[in-house]
Amino acid sequence: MELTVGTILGFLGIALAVALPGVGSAIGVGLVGTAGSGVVTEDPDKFGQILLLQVIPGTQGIYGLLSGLLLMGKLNVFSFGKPVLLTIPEGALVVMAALPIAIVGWFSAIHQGKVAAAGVGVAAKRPEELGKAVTFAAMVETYAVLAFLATLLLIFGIPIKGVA
Amino acid sequence: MVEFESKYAYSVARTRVLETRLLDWGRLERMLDAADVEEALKVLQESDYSVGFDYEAMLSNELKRVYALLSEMAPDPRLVRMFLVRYDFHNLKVLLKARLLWEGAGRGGVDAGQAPRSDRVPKRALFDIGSVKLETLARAVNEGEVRDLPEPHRAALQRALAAYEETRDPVTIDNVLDREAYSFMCAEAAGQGIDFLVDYLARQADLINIATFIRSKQMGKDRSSFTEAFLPCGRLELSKFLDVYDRPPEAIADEFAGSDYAPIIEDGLKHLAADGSLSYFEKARDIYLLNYLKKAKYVAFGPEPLIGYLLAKENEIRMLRIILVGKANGLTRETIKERLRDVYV
Amino acid sequence: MEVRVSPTRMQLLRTRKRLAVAVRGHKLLKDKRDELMKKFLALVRRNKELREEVEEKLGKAFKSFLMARAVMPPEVIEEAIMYPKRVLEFDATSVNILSVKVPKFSWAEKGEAQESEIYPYGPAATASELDFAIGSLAEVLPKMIELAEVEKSVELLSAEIEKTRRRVNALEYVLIPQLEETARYITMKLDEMERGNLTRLMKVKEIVRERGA
Repeated sequence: MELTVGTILGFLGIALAVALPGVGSAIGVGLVGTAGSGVVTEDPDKFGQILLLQVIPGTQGIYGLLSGLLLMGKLNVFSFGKPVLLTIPEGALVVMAALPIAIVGWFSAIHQGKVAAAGVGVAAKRPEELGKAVTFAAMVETYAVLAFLATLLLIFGIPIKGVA
Repeated sequence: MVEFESKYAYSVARTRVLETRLLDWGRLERMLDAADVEEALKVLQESDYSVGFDYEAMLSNELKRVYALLSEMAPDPRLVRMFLVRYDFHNLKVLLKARLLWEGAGRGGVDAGQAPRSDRVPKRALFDIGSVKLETLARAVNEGEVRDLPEPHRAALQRALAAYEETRDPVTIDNVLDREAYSFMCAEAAGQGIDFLVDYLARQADLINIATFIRSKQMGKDRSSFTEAFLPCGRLELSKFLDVYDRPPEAIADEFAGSDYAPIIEDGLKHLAADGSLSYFEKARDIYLLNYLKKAKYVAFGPEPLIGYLLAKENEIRMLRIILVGKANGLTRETIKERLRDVYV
Repeated sequence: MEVRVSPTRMQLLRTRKRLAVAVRGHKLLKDKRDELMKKFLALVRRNKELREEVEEKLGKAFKSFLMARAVMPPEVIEEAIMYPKRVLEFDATSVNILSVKVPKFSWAEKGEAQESEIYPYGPAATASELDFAIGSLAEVLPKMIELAEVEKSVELLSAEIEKTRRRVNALEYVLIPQLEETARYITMKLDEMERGNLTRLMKVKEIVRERGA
């Protein structure tokens, strides 16, 4: 069985969809974690609240993974060595479908991380206002969700016939 | 992409917790209500302060603790070091004056019996914090051994000595080293790209210069001594001050009517006319600077919150000293409260 | 009062002479006492004035200093005033008031004295309260020196007055009455001896007349 360039593009799309939001989330979660240790050094009781803030930038990675899994299903990756052989346009479409969550997931995770890390300050000074800090961080999530939605719709919309 | 944020995330977040432990007005009011020093100190029992019998020792320990803490958590050691250098320069003044006083005794300037021995520098005048070890400073001043001395200190020391050789006036030492300390701070703040601090120092220098202007006139000093004492880095230029130097102090209000400081100057002059004291101006100045500093609380990432906390802590120590000295000497609640500045929290 | 002198005419003369000296001395000492008293009262008034002024000014200076101490760290204050700018030359001599040696202080500044040159520190690190404290202390220094002079003079004068008064009293109440008493005693004794002699003579004369008769 000979691999097509289309399939290679398809795999690239999957890789982008999973990797970039994952990187973004890692950076975001890491940033909140750094800030969180600052608070926990002085006040260990705040751990629970800070953990709540820390997981928020982690969602983009999950969206990326979900998108990747769906694409893998579409490309029949799970058939152990017998993926669908795509034409070049089909492969390009897979890449396009992956792009929204890849790009938006990447950036939004980082920015959400900044917002959440700033929110750690709120948790430190006014624990009772934690909800507001969480809301600010969640606002960034909107765009990750929209991008995820777009990616999903695009994935469902890719017509795949494969190379005959 | 997030280097800057992650550099400061830890220390800023930690500072946020520390900020919650700064003393608030409620606690200060309770100290004001105390009958004596012991009772006032009791209010501090559940705070960062390690309350002891000697409140001056307590305050200086707290200062030391805060600097140690910030040095430990600041991402860039230069950040805290530049504030510590102020204390180095103060210690240089002390060591230099002690040495010159001793030498002066030999020349017959001062009665030899009254001059302190060079190895007996007044300990009470020295801060025991700083970026450079005290022994290094002492060696540099007394033995000319400047190898271990950092460059800004070395240059400042040389300039102070050279200026003293010319004037033979202890005030010169203070003036030169104060100027050097300010130039160093400003250059360092600009070099580290902390615009917030550059701006803060400029405002502080301006306000100190205004106070110096009024004090110089009150003391009957001439233009050249004012020029000597004029701090660099301010936004208000020396020439503007000299333009109105021969006019009454009130002229300064017109001269700087357009500046940010107009209300402070006006209020200060009003009180000056009423009781001849500049302390109201000094209080207004401190409050103004503290208000400027408060902006640092809203910065999410960066050195500003750390600087804010550090200076807020210095302010807090100053306020506690006002209360405790007042209580120890039986001043009334109103007299003490009149002198209190503001709190950062 | 017991008087133990030999009642001779010679002694009487001597006593009278001593009495005359004592009376003259008494008068002189009384004059001295009055004069000292006058000087003393003037000094006391000046002392009171000075003390009140010094106390008021020192009070103000200390209050300013206290305020300066409140708003500045102790290290900064110590540094500010550790190197005195003015050097004073101080000289103590004494003058004679009615043979009482009282101190006279004189002081002069080394180098040219200038009103603005008393502050030995730079303005940037110090609070303006310190200017007031140093200024009022500088202002009060000459007064304090004068006060020291006057107060010591008052003390010395009062000791002298006390001594003089004791002497006057001793003369007036002890020595002079004693001498008068002695003179009177001698006179009386002499008179008595005179009378005894007379009586004896008369008796002898009578006996001689009886024998002769």
